[in-house]
Amino acid sequence: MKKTIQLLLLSFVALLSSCTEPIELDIDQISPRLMISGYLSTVPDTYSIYVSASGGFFEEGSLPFYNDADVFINSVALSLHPDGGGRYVTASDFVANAGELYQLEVRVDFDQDGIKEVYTAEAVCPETVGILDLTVSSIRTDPTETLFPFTSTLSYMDPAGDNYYGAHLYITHTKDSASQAIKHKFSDQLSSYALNSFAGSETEESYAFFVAYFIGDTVTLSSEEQLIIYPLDTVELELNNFSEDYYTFISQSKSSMSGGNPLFAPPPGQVQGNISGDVLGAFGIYTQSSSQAVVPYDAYTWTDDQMKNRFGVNWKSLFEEGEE
Amino acid sequence: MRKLVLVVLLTTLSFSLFSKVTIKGYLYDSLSKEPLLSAYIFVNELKTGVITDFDGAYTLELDEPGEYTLRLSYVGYVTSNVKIQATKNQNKDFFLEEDQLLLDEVVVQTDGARKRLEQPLTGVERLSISEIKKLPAFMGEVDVIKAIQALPGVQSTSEGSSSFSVRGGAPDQNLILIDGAPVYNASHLLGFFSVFNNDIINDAVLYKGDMPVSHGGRLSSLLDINTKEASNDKFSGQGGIGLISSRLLLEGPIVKDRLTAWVAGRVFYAGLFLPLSSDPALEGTLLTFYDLNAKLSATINEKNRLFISGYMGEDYFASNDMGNFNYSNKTATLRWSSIIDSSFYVNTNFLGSWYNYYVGGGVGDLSVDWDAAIQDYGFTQDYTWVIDPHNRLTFGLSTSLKLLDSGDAKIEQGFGTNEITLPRTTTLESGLYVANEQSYGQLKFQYGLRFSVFNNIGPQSEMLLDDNHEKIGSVEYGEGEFYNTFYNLEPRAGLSWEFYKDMSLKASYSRTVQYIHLLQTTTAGTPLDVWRASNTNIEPETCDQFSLGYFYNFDRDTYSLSVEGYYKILDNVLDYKDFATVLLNEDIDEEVLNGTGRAYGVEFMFRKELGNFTGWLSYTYSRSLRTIPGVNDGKEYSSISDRPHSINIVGNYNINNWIDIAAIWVYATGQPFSAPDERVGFADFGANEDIPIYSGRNQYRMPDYHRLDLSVTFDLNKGVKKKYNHNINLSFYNVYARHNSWQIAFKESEDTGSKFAEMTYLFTIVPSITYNFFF
Repeated sequence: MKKTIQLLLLSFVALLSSCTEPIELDIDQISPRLMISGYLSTVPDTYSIYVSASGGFFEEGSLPFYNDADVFINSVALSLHPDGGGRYVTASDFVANAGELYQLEVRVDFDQDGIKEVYTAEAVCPETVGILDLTVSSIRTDPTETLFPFTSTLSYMDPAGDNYYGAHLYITHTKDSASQAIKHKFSDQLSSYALNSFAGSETEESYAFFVAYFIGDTVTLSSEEQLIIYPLDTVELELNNFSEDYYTFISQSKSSMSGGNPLFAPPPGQVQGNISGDVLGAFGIYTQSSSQAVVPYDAYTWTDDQMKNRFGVNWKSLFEEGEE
Repeated sequence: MRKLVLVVLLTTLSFSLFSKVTIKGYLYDSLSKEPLLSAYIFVNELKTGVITDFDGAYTLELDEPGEYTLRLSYVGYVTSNVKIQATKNQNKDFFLEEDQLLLDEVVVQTDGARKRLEQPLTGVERLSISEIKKLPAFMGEVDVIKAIQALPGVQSTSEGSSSFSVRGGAPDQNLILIDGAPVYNASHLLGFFSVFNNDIINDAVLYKGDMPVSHGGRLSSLLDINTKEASNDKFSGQGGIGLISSRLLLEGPIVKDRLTAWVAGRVFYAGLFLPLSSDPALEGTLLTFYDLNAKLSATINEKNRLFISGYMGEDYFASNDMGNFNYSNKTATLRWSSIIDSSFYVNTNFLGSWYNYYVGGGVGDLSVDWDAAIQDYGFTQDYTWVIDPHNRLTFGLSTSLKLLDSGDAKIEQGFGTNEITLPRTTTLESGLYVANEQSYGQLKFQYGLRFSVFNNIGPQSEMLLDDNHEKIGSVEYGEGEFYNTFYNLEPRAGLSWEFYKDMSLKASYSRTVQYIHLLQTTTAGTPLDVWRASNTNIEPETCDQFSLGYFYNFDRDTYSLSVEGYYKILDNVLDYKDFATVLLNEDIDEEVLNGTGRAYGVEFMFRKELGNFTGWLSYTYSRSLRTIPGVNDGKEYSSISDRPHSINIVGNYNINNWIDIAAIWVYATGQPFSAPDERVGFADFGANEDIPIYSGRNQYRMPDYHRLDLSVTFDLNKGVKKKYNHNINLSFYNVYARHNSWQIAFKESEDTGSKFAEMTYLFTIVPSITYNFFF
């Protein structure tokens, strides 16, 4: 709802905002700082810890990284990824378990004095949250409407204690899934990862009901590639329960990125991490639980041509239940 | 403090024992017969004087009978010297002629400079409507707040905005009154116009330093706008027709010498044409505002007068695709002015102010409604006792019941409703005060004390916060329960010493306390900024201000020079914590932190007030800093009002008796804002993304602000005053089309991925033409 109101207000303000132009700002030169980040999760997979450094905000080029660090999780060494890039990976079947403590240790010679400094962080794996229901609904009532035609709503049981939720949304094309399952992330922007912070309104250990995402009829995968969503596509929503420090880091990072539209942005500050020393970044764990739903047909969203291209000339027979 | 009050009373009472001659009466406009409030009546022989009250009434207590010369002066009027035989108590009314620029009159003196020199107050600026009208118009409208923003120590908070900062204070630290009633949002069109129609204004007084003890509740300033009195002489009117807005005022006697009234209206209609635009983004948009003012003045008898005045205005903004957004202000004042005897009079006010805003809209079967309001019901009673020629005692009380409702936001969808209930607060803010204005030869004193009390009233649920300022629970309070009280003593004192002919030194101290606070994240200002009252989590803000000033008038008050310095110590100032959740937050107290602040500066002003060329040149150096644990790593940082250098050059030149040109050039250091100075790569979810890192709060500045406005006014009667007078005003806002930053965003180039800062500016050159008429 807050995003809807923000959108509404921004459209008003946009009418008053006549022109924009790039400007040069006199920004201080900042000494680079070490950045360590990474997460673990409850699904068997290869997880990564990244060791890099910060750079000036307006400086061009890639940021420095460290391929000569020693990285450990619970004293087990991680290996440098073959592509380097300061990425250190776990075994491919690594799984984090609920309630367990995970300790990260990174040794790296950041100050280049010939001795590796030691940086540490720790996180406890939260409890996995079961999704009770996921519904994707059409909300478009008029063919001239241009904004989100669908919304997804999920319900789940809130576990005891403080929980810090986030969500991922995936769209799977049914047409392509037979040959090659393609899991598209809904967006490439960081905001999608923690788009919906559920904290605050749910009642402890009760059913929670949440409008998780508004879903458009297209997904922008890159500047060249757009994915059109069709009826019968599968929406997969992954509900995450984050360790607190990592959630804070993600949330604040997301806020920092809202400098692209500062009028309604919260006041920015130093993003808080949980790595020891004057180091940027965070180490955390989040759980994953998923549920799927099918995109319903909606007469106001797709043209006849689109439906023919997608489902053939007899596309209407697929949607015989009076949904037109 | 009780001793101080006792000393004040005893001192003043001791002077009342002398016998004296009393001259009392009213001071009027010679044509309209409107009373002139706050005019200056100076007794040349005694080197002392009085100021007329709300009704234009004055009382002079003379120690000895004799012949005296009274100098009657008022801003925008020709000063008059009148001889009187003060042999016995008597009633005597006087009349002043307006300083009509269109007439061939020789103006010999002005009261503004004289009053500034002599009054024992620092940081006081009075603008009459005639002065305000000399400034260039913006979009065809001359605006009192735009005029105020051209004074030293006052700055606009953002391009085109009606919001302003006084001596480094935040915009919410200004108490804005129209006929005594507070105005919570003094802007139209998100700030591009103020709510004050200049046709109805008599004068505007800005107290930057020594706020009168009769007023409180804000830290930085009092902007006291008084509306005019209707003409008692004849039915008349005035107005203006512009390209984007028009206005009309009608006034006159209803019952001669008994009942007068005026009504004024203004409408902005440029936005009504947006639906005709070929631009699809504008086609479905509607944008307009209107306001209405009215005043009724009744003379019940020689000693009692009654006034009823009111304001209502509304902004309306609608988009077919999204919904609508509107906000409105209303104020009402009922004033009863009573003269008990020749030296004692009372003003009683019943005041009301209402501010509402609404956001509503829908997308498909999804709809949003957000309705919020502020209601303020006040009562004040002010007593004035002219004890003798050297002592003028004022005392009184005020109380105000405020209902601050941040509103409920509701989202409805086909399958359900989700509601957010925002804080709703009931408070009672009251004050008792006493003050005396005293003179000994060339020394003048003004000292007083205000005792303010603030109550939070149930029903209420107040948050309990831990040491990290995070919510750990809440406490419920019952209906009507006075569950939290703050008391504060607010001493204020000032003195002026005319140590040499036409030169004075002044010093003052004032303490102010603020109990309600505007929480906002951007100086661009939106009506959705949240007003929040002090409570068990938010302490009242306090300010101790020390001022020193040197004033010099020369060439028979034609020129004046002043230098004023000030230092403010602030406590419990508020700011949002880093990454605060601002919009629609039910637990907003959790997001604000308090700390200390300081502001200091020096203001230079050189003014020419007489002759064909008038105007001023001012330079202000000022700083405004905050230290709040939890913000900016606890280190001192610039407040959003910290703009060290400011220059204003204002000029008005009468080329002849029918052409008048005006210009204003303003310069200010760029506004502080937060900018990222560092970035890190973040690859935890696959694609590598950059996170901007902000090293501090408000650590950088927008580009410096400067702008030139010009206007020329042609009297279509060529300087001859007739029954129907009219002129055409041609104005240019931002003549050299400076692109002044309104906001700065940080973007990434789609082609190269490099970061850049992008500035939004609102205006280039804005020409306007207005036809004004008077009959």
